[in-house]
Amino acid sequence: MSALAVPFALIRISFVANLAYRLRFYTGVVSYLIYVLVYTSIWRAVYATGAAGGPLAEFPSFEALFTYFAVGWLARSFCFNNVDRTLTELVESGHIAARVARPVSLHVQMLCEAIGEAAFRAAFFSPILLTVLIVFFGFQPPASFGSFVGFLASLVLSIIVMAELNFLVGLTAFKTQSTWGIMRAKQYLIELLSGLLIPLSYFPDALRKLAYCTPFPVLTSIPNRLYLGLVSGAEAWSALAISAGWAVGLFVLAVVCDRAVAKSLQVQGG
Amino acid sequence: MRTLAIYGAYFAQFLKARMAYRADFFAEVFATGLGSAASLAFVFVLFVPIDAIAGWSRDEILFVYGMSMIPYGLFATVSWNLFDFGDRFIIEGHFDRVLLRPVSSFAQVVFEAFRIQTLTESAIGVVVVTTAARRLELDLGLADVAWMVVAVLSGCAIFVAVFGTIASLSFHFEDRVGIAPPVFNLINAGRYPVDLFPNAVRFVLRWIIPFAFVAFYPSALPLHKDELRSFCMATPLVALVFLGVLAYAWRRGVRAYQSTGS
Repeated sequence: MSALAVPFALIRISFVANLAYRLRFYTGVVSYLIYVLVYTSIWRAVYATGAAGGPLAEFPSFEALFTYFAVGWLARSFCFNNVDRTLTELVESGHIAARVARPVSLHVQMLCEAIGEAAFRAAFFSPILLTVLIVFFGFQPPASFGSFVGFLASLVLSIIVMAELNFLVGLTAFKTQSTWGIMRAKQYLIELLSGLLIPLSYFPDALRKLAYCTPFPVLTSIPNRLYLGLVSGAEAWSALAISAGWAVGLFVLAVVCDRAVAKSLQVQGG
Repeated sequence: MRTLAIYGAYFAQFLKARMAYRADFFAEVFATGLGSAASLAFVFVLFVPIDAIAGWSRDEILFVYGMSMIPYGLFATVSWNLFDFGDRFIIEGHFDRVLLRPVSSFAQVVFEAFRIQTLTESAIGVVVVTTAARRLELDLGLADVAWMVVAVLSGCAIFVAVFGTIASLSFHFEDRVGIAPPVFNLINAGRYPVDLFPNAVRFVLRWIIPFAFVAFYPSALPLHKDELRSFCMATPLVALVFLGVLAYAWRRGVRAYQSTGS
Protein backbone atom coordinates (compact mmCIF):
# COMPACT_ATOMS: atom_id res chain seq x y z
CA MET A 1 0.00 0.00 0.00
CA SER A 2 2.80 2.37 0.87
CA ALA A 3 4.11 1.98 -2.67
CA LEU A 4 1.05 3.86 -3.85
CA ALA A 5 1.20 6.55 -1.18
CA VAL A 6 3.51 8.85 -3.19
CA PRO A 7 1.62 8.65 -6.51
CA PHE A 8 -1.63 9.14 -4.62
CA ALA A 9 -0.26 12.27 -2.94
CA LEU A 10 0.94 13.60 -6.32
CA ILE A 11 -2.47 12.99 -7.85
CA ARG A 12 -4.13 14.80 -4.94
CA ILE A 13 -1.78 17.81 -5.32
CA SER A 14 -2.59 18.04 -9.03
CA PHE A 15 -6.33 17.81 -8.29
CA VAL A 16 -6.15 20.61 -5.73
CA ALA A 17 -3.97 22.78 -7.97
CA ASN A 18 -6.56 22.53 -10.74
CA LEU A 19 -9.29 23.31 -8.25
CA ALA A 20 -7.52 26.57 -7.38
CA TYR A 21 -7.63 27.65 -11.02
CA ARG A 22 -11.11 26.35 -11.73
CA LEU A 23 -12.31 29.69 -13.10
CA ARG A 24 -10.43 29.23 -16.36
CA PHE A 25 -12.33 26.03 -17.00
CA TYR A 26 -15.56 28.00 -17.39
CA THR A 27 -14.38 29.57 -20.63
CA GLY A 28 -13.29 26.06 -21.51
CA VAL A 29 -16.97 25.16 -21.59
CA VAL A 30 -17.52 27.97 -24.11
CA SER A 31 -14.58 26.71 -26.18
CA TYR A 32 -16.01 23.22 -26.34
CA LEU A 33 -19.46 24.54 -27.21
CA ILE A 34 -17.89 26.41 -30.12
CA TYR A 35 -16.12 23.26 -31.30
CA VAL A 36 -19.32 21.23 -31.13
CA LEU A 37 -21.37 23.95 -32.83
CA VAL A 38 -18.92 24.56 -35.67
CA TYR A 39 -18.23 20.95 -36.54
CA THR A 40 -21.77 19.67 -36.13
CA SER A 41 -22.99 22.54 -38.33
CA ILE A 42 -20.60 21.40 -41.04
CA TRP A 43 -21.70 17.79 -40.60
CA ARG A 44 -25.37 18.74 -40.73
CA ALA A 45 -24.69 20.14 -44.20
CA VAL A 46 -22.72 17.02 -45.16
CA TYR A 47 -25.50 14.76 -43.90
CA ALA A 48 -28.00 16.81 -45.91
CA THR A 49 -26.14 16.05 -49.16
CA GLY A 50 -27.22 12.43 -48.85
CA ALA A 51 -23.76 11.05 -48.21
CA ALA A 52 -25.50 9.27 -45.35
CA GLY A 53 -26.24 6.27 -47.53
CA GLY A 54 -22.58 5.48 -48.13
CA PRO A 55 -19.79 6.30 -45.71
CA LEU A 56 -22.16 7.47 -42.95
CA ALA A 57 -24.37 4.39 -43.20
CA GLU A 58 -23.58 3.25 -39.67
CA PHE A 59 -25.32 6.37 -38.32
CA PRO A 60 -29.04 5.73 -38.76
CA SER A 61 -29.98 9.37 -38.12
CA PHE A 62 -28.36 12.78 -37.81
CA GLU A 63 -28.98 12.52 -34.06
CA ALA A 64 -26.71 9.48 -33.94
CA LEU A 65 -24.02 11.37 -35.84
CA PHE A 66 -24.47 14.37 -33.55
CA THR A 67 -24.16 12.10 -30.54
CA TYR A 68 -20.91 10.75 -31.97
CA PHE A 69 -19.39 14.25 -32.05
CA ALA A 70 -20.87 15.43 -28.74
CA VAL A 71 -19.54 12.34 -26.96
CA GLY A 72 -16.19 12.78 -28.70
CA TRP A 73 -15.73 16.31 -27.44
CA LEU A 74 -17.04 15.33 -24.03
CA ALA A 75 -14.49 12.52 -23.83
CA ARG A 76 -11.78 14.92 -24.91
CA SER A 77 -12.79 17.44 -22.24
CA PHE A 78 -12.19 14.64 -19.77
CA CYS A 79 -8.89 13.22 -21.07
CA PHE A 80 -7.18 16.45 -22.11
CA ASN A 81 -4.11 17.61 -20.22
CA ASN A 82 -1.22 20.02 -20.60
CA VAL A 83 1.65 17.71 -19.62
CA ASP A 84 3.58 18.68 -22.78
CA ARG A 85 3.23 22.40 -22.02
CA THR A 86 4.13 21.92 -18.37
CA LEU A 87 7.28 20.02 -19.33
CA THR A 88 8.26 22.72 -21.83
CA GLU A 89 7.85 25.42 -19.22
CA LEU A 90 9.84 23.43 -16.66
CA VAL A 91 12.70 23.01 -19.13
CA GLU A 92 12.64 26.66 -20.23
CA SER A 93 12.64 27.99 -16.69
CA GLY A 94 15.21 25.46 -15.45
CA HIS A 95 12.90 24.26 -12.67
CA ILE A 96 13.19 20.87 -14.32
CA ALA A 97 16.40 20.31 -12.33
CA ALA A 98 14.49 20.26 -9.05
CA ARG A 99 11.91 17.91 -10.57
CA VAL A 100 14.49 15.46 -11.87
CA ALA A 101 16.22 15.49 -8.49
CA ARG A 102 13.11 14.17 -6.77
CA PRO A 103 13.15 10.50 -5.77
CA VAL A 104 10.16 9.82 -8.04
CA SER A 105 10.82 9.69 -11.78
CA LEU A 106 9.74 12.61 -13.94
CA HIS A 107 7.48 10.23 -15.82
CA VAL A 108 5.56 9.17 -12.71
CA GLN A 109 5.28 12.81 -11.62
CA MET A 110 3.77 13.84 -14.94
CA LEU A 111 1.49 10.82 -15.17
CA CYS A 112 0.15 11.59 -11.69
CA GLU A 113 -0.36 15.19 -12.71
CA ALA A 114 -2.40 14.06 -15.70
CA ILE A 115 -4.49 11.65 -13.62
CA GLY A 116 -5.13 14.37 -11.03
CA GLU A 117 -6.25 16.74 -13.76
CA ALA A 118 -8.51 14.08 -15.26
CA ALA A 119 -10.08 13.51 -11.84
CA PHE A 120 -10.65 17.24 -11.52
CA ARG A 121 -12.13 17.40 -14.99
CA ALA A 122 -14.39 14.44 -14.31
CA ALA A 123 -15.67 16.09 -11.14
CA PHE A 124 -16.03 19.73 -12.20
CA PHE A 125 -15.62 20.28 -15.91
CA SER A 126 -17.18 17.47 -17.93
CA PRO A 127 -20.44 17.46 -15.90
CA ILE A 128 -20.98 21.16 -16.72
CA LEU A 129 -20.29 20.54 -20.38
CA LEU A 130 -22.55 17.47 -20.33
CA THR A 131 -25.38 19.51 -18.78
CA VAL A 132 -24.97 22.35 -21.29
CA LEU A 133 -24.89 19.92 -24.22
CA ILE A 134 -28.01 18.11 -23.02
CA VAL A 135 -29.90 21.36 -22.34
CA PHE A 136 -29.00 23.04 -25.64
CA PHE A 137 -28.84 20.10 -28.01
CA GLY A 138 -29.80 16.85 -26.37
CA PHE A 139 -28.15 13.68 -27.56
CA GLN A 140 -28.72 9.97 -27.44
CA PRO A 141 -28.02 7.89 -24.32
CA PRO A 142 -25.52 5.01 -24.57
CA ALA A 143 -26.71 2.01 -26.56
CA SER A 144 -26.85 -0.24 -23.52
CA PHE A 145 -25.54 -0.54 -19.99
CA GLY A 146 -22.77 -2.79 -21.24
CA SER A 147 -21.70 -0.33 -23.91
CA PHE A 148 -21.63 2.43 -21.29
CA VAL A 149 -19.33 0.40 -19.06
CA GLY A 150 -17.10 -0.34 -22.04
CA PHE A 151 -17.08 3.37 -22.89
CA LEU A 152 -15.98 4.30 -19.35
CA ALA A 153 -13.29 1.62 -19.33
CA SER A 154 -11.90 2.80 -22.67
CA LEU A 155 -11.89 6.40 -21.38
CA VAL A 156 -9.65 5.46 -18.47
CA LEU A 157 -7.21 3.93 -20.97
CA SER A 158 -7.52 7.11 -23.09
CA ILE A 159 -6.28 9.17 -20.15
CA ILE A 160 -3.13 7.06 -19.98
CA VAL A 161 -2.58 7.21 -23.76
CA MET A 162 -3.14 10.98 -23.82
CA ALA A 163 -0.82 11.53 -20.85
CA GLU A 164 1.96 9.39 -22.33
CA LEU A 165 1.67 11.03 -25.76
CA ASN A 166 1.90 14.45 -24.15
CA PHE A 167 4.79 13.30 -22.02
CA LEU A 168 6.72 12.07 -25.07
CA VAL A 169 6.00 15.31 -26.94
CA GLY A 170 7.02 17.29 -23.86
CA LEU A 171 10.33 15.43 -23.67
CA THR A 172 11.34 16.98 -27.00
CA ALA A 173 11.68 20.22 -25.02
CA PHE A 174 14.93 18.79 -23.71
CA LYS A 175 16.33 18.73 -27.23
CA THR A 176 14.78 21.72 -28.97
CA GLN A 177 14.43 25.36 -28.08
CA SER A 178 10.72 25.66 -28.70
CA THR A 179 8.07 22.95 -28.78
CA TRP A 180 5.25 25.21 -29.95
CA GLY A 181 5.14 23.77 -33.48
CA ILE A 182 5.40 20.16 -32.33
CA MET A 183 2.57 20.60 -29.83
CA ARG A 184 0.42 22.19 -32.51
CA ALA A 185 1.17 19.44 -35.03
CA LYS A 186 0.30 16.82 -32.40
CA GLN A 187 -2.99 18.56 -31.68
CA TYR A 188 -4.05 18.60 -35.35
CA LEU A 189 -2.91 15.03 -35.95
CA ILE A 190 -4.90 13.86 -32.93
CA GLU A 191 -8.00 15.78 -34.02
CA LEU A 192 -7.84 14.27 -37.49
CA LEU A 193 -6.69 10.69 -36.89
CA SER A 194 -8.59 10.04 -33.64
CA GLY A 195 -11.91 10.40 -35.41
CA LEU A 196 -12.81 13.50 -33.41
CA LEU A 197 -13.54 15.68 -36.45
CA ILE A 198 -14.41 12.92 -38.92
CA PRO A 199 -15.67 9.42 -38.05
CA LEU A 200 -13.04 6.93 -39.23
CA SER A 201 -15.68 5.08 -41.28
CA TYR A 202 -15.88 8.21 -43.48
CA PHE A 203 -12.14 8.09 -44.27
CA PRO A 204 -10.80 6.75 -47.58
CA ASP A 205 -9.46 3.21 -47.03
CA ALA A 206 -5.77 4.08 -47.10
CA LEU A 207 -6.11 6.87 -44.57
CA ARG A 208 -8.26 4.73 -42.29
CA LYS A 209 -5.63 2.00 -42.29
CA LEU A 210 -3.00 4.62 -41.50
CA ALA A 211 -5.13 5.95 -38.62
CA TYR A 212 -5.52 2.47 -37.16
CA CYS A 213 -1.73 2.09 -37.11
CA THR A 214 -1.50 5.06 -34.71
CA PRO A 215 -2.61 5.27 -31.07
CA PHE A 216 -4.96 8.17 -31.89
CA PRO A 217 -8.22 6.19 -32.45
CA VAL A 218 -7.91 5.11 -28.81
CA LEU A 219 -8.70 8.71 -27.84
CA THR A 220 -12.03 9.16 -29.63
CA SER A 221 -13.03 6.51 -32.12
CA ILE A 222 -12.91 3.53 -29.76
CA PRO A 223 -14.76 5.14 -26.81
CA ASN A 224 -17.38 6.62 -29.15
CA ARG A 225 -18.04 3.41 -31.01
CA LEU A 226 -18.45 1.61 -27.71
CA TYR A 227 -20.86 4.30 -26.47
CA LEU A 228 -23.02 4.15 -29.59
CA GLY A 229 -22.98 0.35 -29.63
CA LEU A 230 -21.33 0.31 -33.09
CA VAL A 231 -19.06 -2.35 -31.66
CA SER A 232 -20.30 -4.89 -29.15
CA GLY A 233 -19.62 -8.39 -27.89
CA ALA A 234 -16.29 -9.89 -28.95
CA GLU A 235 -15.51 -6.80 -31.08
CA ALA A 236 -15.90 -4.61 -28.01
CA TRP A 237 -13.41 -6.72 -26.11
CA SER A 238 -10.88 -6.52 -28.92
CA ALA A 239 -11.41 -2.72 -29.10
CA LEU A 240 -10.64 -2.51 -25.38
CA ALA A 241 -7.62 -4.75 -25.90
CA ILE A 242 -6.29 -2.35 -28.54
CA SER A 243 -6.73 0.56 -26.09
CA ALA A 244 -4.99 -1.38 -23.33
CA GLY A 245 -2.19 -2.40 -25.70
CA TRP A 246 -1.47 1.21 -26.63
CA ALA A 247 -1.67 2.34 -23.01
CA VAL A 248 0.88 -0.29 -21.94
CA GLY A 249 3.09 0.20 -25.00
CA LEU A 250 3.27 3.97 -24.62
CA PHE A 251 3.82 3.61 -20.88
CA VAL A 252 6.86 1.40 -21.48
CA LEU A 253 8.17 3.73 -24.19
CA ALA A 254 7.76 6.71 -21.84
CA VAL A 255 9.69 4.90 -19.08
CA VAL A 256 12.55 4.16 -21.47
CA CYS A 257 12.68 7.71 -22.85
CA ASP A 258 12.42 9.18 -19.36
CA ARG A 259 15.48 7.21 -18.22
CA ALA A 260 17.48 8.18 -21.30
CA VAL A 261 16.66 11.87 -20.95
CA ALA A 262 17.27 11.99 -17.20
CA LYS A 263 20.68 10.39 -17.74
CA SER A 264 21.76 12.83 -20.45
CA LEU A 265 20.31 15.96 -18.84
CA GLN A 266 22.73 18.78 -18.24
CA VAL A 267 21.50 21.76 -16.28
CA GLN A 268 23.32 25.04 -16.27
CA GLY A 269 24.29 26.01 -12.74
CA GLY A 270 23.28 29.30 -11.21
CA MET B 1 10.03 56.34 -41.04
CA ARG B 2 12.18 56.34 -37.93
CA THR B 3 9.65 54.13 -36.14
CA LEU B 4 9.71 51.72 -39.03
CA ALA B 5 13.50 51.51 -38.74
CA ILE B 6 13.14 50.75 -35.06
CA TYR B 7 10.75 47.85 -35.73
CA GLY B 8 13.17 46.64 -38.38
CA ALA B 9 15.91 46.64 -35.77
CA TYR B 10 13.68 44.72 -33.33
CA PHE B 11 13.12 42.11 -36.00
CA ALA B 12 16.79 41.85 -37.01
CA GLN B 13 17.72 41.42 -33.37
CA PHE B 14 15.20 38.66 -32.95
CA LEU B 15 16.34 36.95 -36.12
CA LYS B 16 19.95 36.89 -34.95
CA ALA B 17 18.95 35.30 -31.66
CA ARG B 18 16.70 32.76 -33.37
CA MET B 19 19.23 31.74 -36.00
CA ALA B 20 21.74 30.85 -33.31
CA TYR B 21 19.78 27.59 -33.07
CA ARG B 22 19.38 26.85 -36.74
CA ALA B 23 18.56 23.12 -36.78
CA ASP B 24 16.02 23.79 -34.10
CA PHE B 25 14.45 26.48 -36.22
CA PHE B 26 14.01 24.21 -39.23
CA ALA B 27 12.55 21.46 -37.06
CA GLU B 28 10.02 24.01 -35.89
CA VAL B 29 9.21 25.08 -39.46
CA PHE B 30 8.67 21.44 -40.39
CA ALA B 31 6.39 20.85 -37.40
CA THR B 32 4.37 23.95 -38.23
CA GLY B 33 3.95 22.76 -41.82
CA LEU B 34 2.86 19.32 -40.61
CA GLY B 35 0.26 20.94 -38.34
CA SER B 36 -1.11 23.09 -41.17
CA ALA B 37 -1.26 20.07 -43.48
CA ALA B 38 -3.16 18.03 -40.88
CA SER B 39 -5.69 20.83 -40.38
CA LEU B 40 -6.17 21.14 -44.16
CA ALA B 41 -6.60 17.39 -44.46
CA PHE B 42 -9.98 17.80 -42.74
CA VAL B 43 -11.33 19.61 -45.81
CA PHE B 44 -9.86 17.05 -48.23
CA VAL B 45 -11.27 14.05 -46.37
CA LEU B 46 -14.63 15.74 -45.88
CA PHE B 47 -15.06 16.17 -49.62
CA VAL B 48 -14.00 12.68 -50.74
CA PRO B 49 -17.54 11.29 -51.04
CA ILE B 50 -19.39 14.57 -51.70
CA ASP B 51 -19.10 17.42 -54.21
CA ALA B 52 -20.39 20.39 -52.28
CA ILE B 53 -21.88 21.54 -49.00
CA ALA B 54 -24.41 24.36 -48.86
CA GLY B 55 -23.57 25.25 -52.45
CA TRP B 56 -19.81 25.47 -51.91
CA SER B 57 -17.47 23.09 -53.70
CA ARG B 58 -14.30 21.67 -52.22
CA ASP B 59 -12.03 23.99 -54.14
CA GLU B 60 -14.08 27.02 -53.16
CA ILE B 61 -13.83 26.05 -49.50
CA LEU B 62 -10.09 25.46 -49.94
CA PHE B 63 -9.76 28.90 -51.50
CA VAL B 64 -11.42 30.47 -48.45
CA TYR B 65 -9.35 28.28 -46.12
CA GLY B 66 -6.12 29.37 -47.79
CA MET B 67 -7.20 33.00 -47.72
CA SER B 68 -7.59 32.62 -43.95
CA MET B 69 -4.23 30.87 -43.47
CA ILE B 70 -2.27 33.74 -45.03
CA PRO B 71 -3.36 36.51 -42.61
CA TYR B 72 -3.35 34.06 -39.70
CA GLY B 73 0.30 33.16 -40.33
CA LEU B 74 1.25 36.84 -40.55
CA PHE B 75 -0.68 37.63 -37.39
CA ALA B 76 0.77 34.67 -35.49
CA THR B 77 4.32 35.89 -36.14
CA VAL B 78 3.69 38.93 -33.94
CA SER B 79 0.91 37.75 -31.64
CA TRP B 80 3.26 36.08 -29.16
CA ASN B 81 2.99 38.83 -26.58
CA LEU B 82 -0.72 39.54 -26.95
CA PHE B 83 -1.71 36.19 -25.49
CA ASP B 84 0.29 36.50 -22.30
CA PHE B 85 0.17 40.27 -22.15
CA GLY B 86 -1.58 40.28 -18.77
CA ASP B 87 0.98 37.97 -17.16
CA ARG B 88 4.13 39.34 -18.71
CA PHE B 89 3.48 43.04 -18.94
CA ILE B 90 0.96 43.87 -16.25
CA ILE B 91 1.49 41.40 -13.42
CA GLU B 92 5.28 41.17 -13.87
CA GLY B 93 5.40 44.91 -14.47
CA HIS B 94 7.29 44.92 -17.79
CA PHE B 95 4.93 47.60 -19.04
CA ASP B 96 6.86 50.22 -17.02
CA ARG B 97 9.83 49.66 -19.28
CA VAL B 98 7.62 50.00 -22.38
CA LEU B 99 6.22 53.32 -21.20
CA LEU B 100 9.70 54.78 -20.77
CA ARG B 101 10.40 54.59 -24.50
CA PRO B 102 9.18 57.21 -26.98
CA VAL B 103 7.56 54.68 -29.35
CA SER B 104 3.93 53.51 -29.44
CA SER B 105 3.43 51.17 -26.51
CA PHE B 106 1.17 48.83 -28.49
CA ALA B 107 3.71 48.46 -31.28
CA GLN B 108 6.44 47.73 -28.75
CA VAL B 109 4.40 44.95 -27.19
CA VAL B 110 3.48 43.45 -30.55
CA PHE B 111 6.94 43.65 -32.08
CA GLU B 112 8.94 42.48 -29.11
CA ALA B 113 8.71 38.77 -29.83
CA PHE B 114 8.29 37.05 -33.16
CA ARG B 115 7.42 33.55 -34.19
CA ILE B 116 8.65 33.47 -37.77
CA GLN B 117 8.09 29.74 -38.18
CA THR B 118 4.35 30.48 -38.46
CA LEU B 119 5.05 32.16 -41.81
CA THR B 120 5.05 28.53 -43.00
CA GLU B 121 1.28 28.68 -42.54
CA SER B 122 1.08 31.78 -44.75
CA ALA B 123 3.23 30.12 -47.40
CA ILE B 124 1.00 27.03 -47.40
CA GLY B 125 -1.98 29.38 -47.60
CA VAL B 126 -0.57 30.97 -50.76
CA VAL B 127 -0.07 27.53 -52.33
CA VAL B 128 -3.61 26.46 -51.38
CA VAL B 129 -5.18 29.65 -52.77
CA THR B 130 -3.30 29.50 -56.07
CA THR B 131 -3.97 25.78 -56.52
CA ALA B 132 -7.66 26.20 -55.74
CA ALA B 133 -7.87 29.19 -58.09
CA ARG B 134 -6.31 27.19 -60.90
CA ARG B 135 -8.61 24.22 -60.37
CA LEU B 136 -11.62 26.53 -60.31
CA GLU B 137 -10.28 28.12 -63.50
CA LEU B 138 -10.65 31.54 -61.96
CA ASP B 139 -9.35 34.19 -64.29
CA LEU B 140 -7.72 36.41 -61.68
CA GLY B 141 -6.85 39.82 -63.03
CA LEU B 142 -4.67 42.46 -61.48
CA ALA B 143 -7.69 43.97 -59.73
CA ASP B 144 -8.53 40.61 -58.11
CA VAL B 145 -4.98 40.16 -56.88
CA ALA B 146 -4.91 43.71 -55.53
CA TRP B 147 -8.17 43.03 -53.74
CA MET B 148 -6.77 39.83 -52.25
CA VAL B 149 -3.81 41.77 -50.88
CA VAL B 150 -6.24 44.24 -49.31
CA ALA B 151 -8.20 41.28 -47.92
CA VAL B 152 -5.09 39.73 -46.37
CA LEU B 153 -4.11 43.03 -44.75
CA SER B 154 -7.66 43.51 -43.48
CA GLY B 155 -7.71 39.97 -42.13
CA CYS B 156 -4.45 40.61 -40.31
CA ALA B 157 -5.86 43.86 -38.94
CA ILE B 158 -8.99 42.09 -37.69
CA PHE B 159 -6.93 39.48 -35.86
CA VAL B 160 -4.68 42.13 -34.30
CA ALA B 161 -7.69 44.30 -33.37
CA VAL B 162 -9.65 41.47 -31.74
CA PHE B 163 -6.79 39.98 -29.74
CA GLY B 164 -5.27 43.39 -28.97
CA THR B 165 -8.60 44.57 -27.56
CA ILE B 166 -8.85 41.44 -25.43
CA ALA B 167 -5.27 42.00 -24.22
CA SER B 168 -6.13 45.61 -23.30
CA LEU B 169 -8.70 44.32 -20.82
CA SER B 170 -5.76 43.19 -18.68
CA PHE B 171 -5.16 46.86 -17.81
CA HIS B 172 -8.47 46.96 -15.95
CA PHE B 173 -8.74 43.58 -14.34
CA GLU B 174 -6.71 40.46 -13.92
CA ASP B 175 -8.14 38.02 -16.44
CA ARG B 176 -8.44 34.89 -14.35
CA VAL B 177 -10.96 33.32 -16.66
CA GLY B 178 -9.13 33.56 -19.98
CA ILE B 179 -11.28 35.17 -22.65
CA ALA B 180 -8.80 34.66 -25.46
CA PRO B 181 -8.95 30.83 -25.89
CA PRO B 182 -12.63 30.54 -26.90
CA VAL B 183 -12.22 33.53 -29.22
CA PHE B 184 -9.15 31.86 -30.69
CA ASN B 185 -11.19 28.75 -31.38
CA LEU B 186 -13.66 30.82 -33.37
CA ILE B 187 -10.97 31.54 -35.99
CA ASN B 188 -11.69 28.14 -37.50
CA ALA B 189 -15.39 28.95 -37.90
CA GLY B 190 -14.44 31.88 -40.13
CA ARG B 191 -13.00 29.43 -42.67
CA TYR B 192 -16.38 28.05 -43.71
CA PRO B 193 -19.51 29.59 -45.26
CA VAL B 194 -21.29 31.45 -42.45
CA ASP B 195 -24.68 30.19 -43.67
CA LEU B 196 -23.75 26.79 -42.23
CA PHE B 197 -23.96 28.10 -38.70
CA PRO B 198 -26.89 28.85 -36.40
CA ASN B 199 -28.06 32.48 -36.25
CA ALA B 200 -26.31 33.34 -32.99
CA VAL B 201 -22.92 32.14 -34.26
CA ARG B 202 -23.47 33.91 -37.57
CA PHE B 203 -24.22 37.16 -35.74
CA VAL B 204 -21.07 36.89 -33.64
CA LEU B 205 -18.90 36.09 -36.67
CA ARG B 206 -20.22 39.12 -38.51
CA TRP B 207 -20.52 41.85 -35.96
CA ILE B 208 -18.90 40.98 -32.61
CA ILE B 209 -15.79 38.99 -33.46
CA PRO B 210 -15.78 39.56 -37.21
CA PHE B 211 -13.83 36.50 -38.33
CA ALA B 212 -16.25 36.02 -41.22
CA PHE B 213 -14.58 39.10 -42.73
CA VAL B 214 -11.10 37.58 -42.52
CA ALA B 215 -11.47 35.24 -45.47
CA PHE B 216 -15.04 34.16 -46.19
CA TYR B 217 -16.58 37.47 -47.27
CA PRO B 218 -13.54 38.93 -49.04
CA SER B 219 -13.21 35.71 -51.08
CA ALA B 220 -16.62 36.41 -52.61
CA LEU B 221 -15.13 38.80 -55.18
CA PRO B 222 -12.52 36.45 -56.72
CA LEU B 223 -14.97 33.52 -56.41
CA HIS B 224 -17.75 35.49 -58.17
CA LYS B 225 -20.26 34.96 -55.38
CA ASP B 226 -22.25 38.03 -56.32
CA GLU B 227 -24.90 37.62 -53.63
CA LEU B 228 -22.20 38.28 -51.00
CA ARG B 229 -20.80 41.31 -52.78
CA SER B 230 -21.93 44.01 -50.36
CA PHE B 231 -20.52 42.12 -47.36
CA CYS B 232 -17.36 41.51 -49.35
CA MET B 233 -16.83 45.18 -50.14
CA ALA B 234 -17.31 46.12 -46.48
CA THR B 235 -14.21 44.13 -45.46
CA PRO B 236 -11.66 47.00 -45.24
CA LEU B 237 -14.25 49.14 -43.45
CA VAL B 238 -14.86 46.42 -40.85
CA ALA B 239 -11.10 46.14 -40.31
CA LEU B 240 -10.80 49.91 -39.84
CA VAL B 241 -13.70 50.06 -37.40
CA PHE B 242 -12.24 47.28 -35.26
CA LEU B 243 -8.80 48.90 -35.37
CA GLY B 244 -10.54 52.02 -34.07
CA VAL B 245 -12.02 49.98 -31.22
CA LEU B 246 -8.54 48.68 -30.44
CA ALA B 247 -7.01 52.18 -30.47
CA TYR B 248 -9.70 53.44 -28.10
CA ALA B 249 -9.48 50.41 -25.78
CA TRP B 250 -5.70 50.54 -25.68
CA ARG B 251 -5.56 54.26 -24.90
CA ARG B 252 -8.08 53.85 -22.09
CA GLY B 253 -6.13 50.89 -20.81
CA VAL B 254 -2.81 52.70 -20.73
CA ARG B 255 -4.46 55.58 -18.89
CA ALA B 256 -5.79 53.16 -16.30
CA TYR B 257 -2.45 51.38 -15.91
CA GLN B 258 -1.10 51.23 -12.40
CA SER B 259 2.33 49.74 -12.08
CA THR B 260 2.82 46.90 -9.65
CA GLY B 261 5.87 48.83 -8.51
CA SER B 262 8.16 45.86 -8.73
